[in-house]
Amino acid sequence: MTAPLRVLIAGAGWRVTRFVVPALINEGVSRDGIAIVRRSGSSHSPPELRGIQIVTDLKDLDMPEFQLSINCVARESLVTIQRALVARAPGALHFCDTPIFNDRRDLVRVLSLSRHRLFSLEDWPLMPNLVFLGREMAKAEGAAELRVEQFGIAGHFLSLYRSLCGVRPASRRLIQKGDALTGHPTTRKTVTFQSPKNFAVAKASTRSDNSLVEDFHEVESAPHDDPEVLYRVVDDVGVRYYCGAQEISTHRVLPELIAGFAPLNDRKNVHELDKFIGLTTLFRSALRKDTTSAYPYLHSVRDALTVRRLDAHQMSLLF
Amino acid sequence: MISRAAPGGRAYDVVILGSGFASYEIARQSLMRGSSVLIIEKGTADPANADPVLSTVTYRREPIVSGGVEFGAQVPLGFESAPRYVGLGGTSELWSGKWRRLDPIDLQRSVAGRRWPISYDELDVAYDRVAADYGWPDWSGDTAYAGCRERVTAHGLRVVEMYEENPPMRLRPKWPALLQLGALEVIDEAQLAGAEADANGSLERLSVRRRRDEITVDASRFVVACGAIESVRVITWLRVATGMGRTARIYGGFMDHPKAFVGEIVPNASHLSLLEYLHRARSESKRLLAFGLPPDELALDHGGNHTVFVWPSASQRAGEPMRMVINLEQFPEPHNTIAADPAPVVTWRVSRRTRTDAEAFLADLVPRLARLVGSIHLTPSPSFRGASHPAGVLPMANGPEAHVDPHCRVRDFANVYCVSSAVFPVAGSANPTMTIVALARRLADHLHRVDPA
Repeated sequence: MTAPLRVLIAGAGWRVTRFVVPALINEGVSRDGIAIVRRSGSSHSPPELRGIQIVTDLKDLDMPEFQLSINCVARESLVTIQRALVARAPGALHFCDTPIFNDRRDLVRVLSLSRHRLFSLEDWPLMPNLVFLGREMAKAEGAAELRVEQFGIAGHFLSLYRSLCGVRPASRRLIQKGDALTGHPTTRKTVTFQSPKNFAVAKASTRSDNSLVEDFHEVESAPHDDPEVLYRVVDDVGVRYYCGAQEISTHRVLPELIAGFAPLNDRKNVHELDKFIGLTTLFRSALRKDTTSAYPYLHSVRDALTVRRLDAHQMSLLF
Repeated sequence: MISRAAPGGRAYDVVILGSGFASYEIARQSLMRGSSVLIIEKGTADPANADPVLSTVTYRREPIVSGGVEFGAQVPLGFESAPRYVGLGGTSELWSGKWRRLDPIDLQRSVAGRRWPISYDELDVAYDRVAADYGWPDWSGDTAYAGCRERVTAHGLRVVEMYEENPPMRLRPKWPALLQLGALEVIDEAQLAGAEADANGSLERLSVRRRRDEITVDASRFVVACGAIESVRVITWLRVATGMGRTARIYGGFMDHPKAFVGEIVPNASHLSLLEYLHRARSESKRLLAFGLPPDELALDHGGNHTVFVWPSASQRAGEPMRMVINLEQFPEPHNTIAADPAPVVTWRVSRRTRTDAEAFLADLVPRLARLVGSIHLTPSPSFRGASHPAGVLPMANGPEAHVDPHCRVRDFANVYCVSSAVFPVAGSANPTMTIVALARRLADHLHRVDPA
């Protein structure tokens, strides 16, 4: 019998309490298999972290070895902490939050990290709704468009775009017009990200010559038969995704963790539930030491650089 | 000054629920004919106390919010997202003042098994009376119009004409003037509390609660005129409260006019005279002209009767792009619904069929319009939003299964009527207010014929 994986989390902020720790628990990691290193030694820990050792210095850890690290510290410390983590456990599997560069010198340090088993904590490429809509676009024989409207940020969108479409030279050109960012992975396929965030009107959709599927971030009490709507139904098993009457995927989620995203008539909460399920998919594979579904860290770095360039220009190439 | 019925029991000839345009027209006509009228309004008569939350609508899919703010409508502070106004005056407090008739083809054709059970000529008589009463300008002196129309028609297009009242009529300040016409009372902030009907389906009595008072009212006729969404809730409530007939919970075929910026027009000098005329007609004569396809083409291809607006800016100069806005006719679809009980929930979206139809319409219209006004750059994948023109969940029809009959009488009730865009079987793409007022005028005539005061 193999020993259970030990997981070290850097940071104890909102992302950790709302997503990372619950996703690990959902995938069977026990609380005593998790440790958190945080910057300050606050006497107060949120209830989500109860039963988890929290330290302010790595040398105080009860578990000196860890096989998985997850870095969610504030952006200004992200690179420094990541270097410390890989130095401490060079053989471990490492996940790091999406990098945002304020200082180009960070880039050199980040690139030096890429020789380690380092992956991005990006969840968009694994969100069940976006995966389905991406497949719908890919399988369309004629013209098709995937639209992500008024939720998320450009960096997440680029991770989705890269995961769905790859980075062939022809697909690298991005056009920014007003609040819309568009890429053309092939001549008859279009992927568009429309900002700004506004969950009242947010939706994701794929339209082709023969079909339209729209996701309004909604949870239904029971399946319905509108074939043009993607939605979710929550039951004792977890979360089931439907397109019309067809069940497209099922995700086992503990009821008490789903309850953490209530109320589910709030579209922002439903989007966060989708992100959470994307993260559970990522962790499930990682705990089996399978990284095929993980988003490469260098891709995340390239996305961050592309966002920097988009902020300054009307048109850009995806790095 | 708005009066309030005293607590206790009172009898009226007509009780009207709601205080928007339909209510106002029926009350006006009834009072002029000597009837006594009671208005029951759920919201407040005092705009300072109006609660925007009461005017919001719970929705699924696409948002049911203001259809006008994004397009320049002026609405009271705090009501920027509200698709309706619950309070004295109803949604006249928010509307943008476009008085437009349905087109004859809207009444002449069947769509998804629905068809208006009245003739266009009959409705047109009511339209003419409404136009006269509500102040449509006299445009007979506009000699340039004939030339404009001829030019548009020669390009295979149809001119769509409407009166754009600016500033739009608000009814709240007009209600007190009706007091001069006779026996009118208004109860605002009123909650329905009870209803009694006899074995023949006649609603005899309503109880309403206002703060701590309970008021009982008797009437020979009751008119539900509180907007397409609220009317469904009220009729469902009346059925439950009286045990009258079948009580639906979900009503299908909800329609709106999906609306979007669909492109830009770059006029060139040779087209400026027409565009200048459009701008002048709108700003000086309140005559708003838009574009559609000829009805014989619509009848042939069974497409929606959509409307394209060209919005020039106030200081339009040669070469500056103008925006193209489309108002779509949406056909009734089963998945677009209102769940009525206890509070309305609207489930609405724009299907692939409607989008495909819009694209086909633009493919036909844009080359003709381009020859008429200048080069056109279409917006790829325009984002359609609702126009706050809810319609179609209680479609008027002949026969015992109809939600309302051609005189707007509600099924299973002998003396309950409904006037709102909920009764439109087919909605075209015309702004609905004028048709609502025309139907109200027609109902007032009918009530007076059947049972004069």
